[in-house]
Amino acid sequence: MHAGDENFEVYLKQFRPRAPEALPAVTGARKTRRALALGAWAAAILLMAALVAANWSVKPTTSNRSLHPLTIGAANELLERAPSVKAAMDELVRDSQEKSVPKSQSAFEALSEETVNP
Amino acid sequence: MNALRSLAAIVLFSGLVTAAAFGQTAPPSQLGENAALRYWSAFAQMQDSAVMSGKIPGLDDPSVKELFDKNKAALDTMYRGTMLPNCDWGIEYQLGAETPVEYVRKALILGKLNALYVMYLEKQGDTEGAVRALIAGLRFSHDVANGGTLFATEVGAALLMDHLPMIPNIVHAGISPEQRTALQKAAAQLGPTGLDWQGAVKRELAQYRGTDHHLTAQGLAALSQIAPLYVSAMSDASVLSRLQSMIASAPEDLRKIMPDPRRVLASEQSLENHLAEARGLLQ
Repeated sequence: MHAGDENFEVYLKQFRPRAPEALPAVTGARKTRRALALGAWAAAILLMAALVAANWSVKPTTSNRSLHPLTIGAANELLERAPSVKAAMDELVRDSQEKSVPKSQSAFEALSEETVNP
Repeated sequence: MNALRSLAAIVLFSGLVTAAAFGQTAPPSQLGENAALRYWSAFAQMQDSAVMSGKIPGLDDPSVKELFDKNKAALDTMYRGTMLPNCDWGIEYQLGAETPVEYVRKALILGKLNALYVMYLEKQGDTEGAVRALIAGLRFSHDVANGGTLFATEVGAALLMDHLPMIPNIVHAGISPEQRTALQKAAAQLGPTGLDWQGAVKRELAQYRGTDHHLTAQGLAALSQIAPLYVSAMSDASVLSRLQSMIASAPEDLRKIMPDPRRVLASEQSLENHLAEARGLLQ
């Protein structure tokens, strides 16, 4: 065996494994910091969602209105609010429409203009 | 004892078998004879009903004929419904203010369409078709109010008052004795007041007892006194001033939801006038 090899073997035998260090313990303060960070993120996300919802300007269209089925409560409210029963009926029909035909005379006008022969 | 038990078991078994056999051969349910089901089918068949609240060019315009062509199936279904003696909309009053009454809105549109169709047929010289559509329209208007509250009754009245003024035109255009008799019968079937206003008031005021109206004990007590008088007012207008006084002195929670009896009576009276005029013409 070469002297170099023997030296190297001696060198290797000097190796003593070190005891591993303990893993860094999660301290109470660290836990609090993490929770605060998570909370801040959650609050930021909620705030953004609220801002988006508040600025979401959905214009009520006739088709949207017509999606809500008529109830007794809504009907009574309509009767109470409208200046006359006829006005309430007109509003009721108008609310149910998705479109109108751009011409000159409404069907209701045609009915009301119908002359009765003497 | 055992023999008695066996006999009882045999009798019970025979009874069950017989009942099952009768159940299978019994006539089909009468639910299909409900006019309201036909009317819902008609609502589903309606097309381009938006025109009814929009603008139409006039009865002579081709687009109007197209509208009626598109809705012929819906109108025919409605006519078949009017042939049935019973109309039950199945209103779920236990839901209080949230009770769905969408059928009233759809009925208003279909009824208006039919009234327009009567006018159209009469202008086209189709008297037979006009009489048929008119009779169906009267019956349908009456059915719309059936079992409903004041709102449905107001809509039924409005539809009747859309149809009744067509009678003079049709009569003056010339109708056969059979057609006159059919119209007389249709007008007679509407009853003396056209609609059941008293029943509508009863159902309307009964709704106010529900928890969703949040009436106080005082409000409920006042309602108990006002309700019978309100019902009476529908057949005796002389109690109107006393009714109004009672409503005026009622607790605020009741006062603000109580329908104005003057308005209800005005609708009832207006319908009665239209009916009297139509019946007079048909004599």
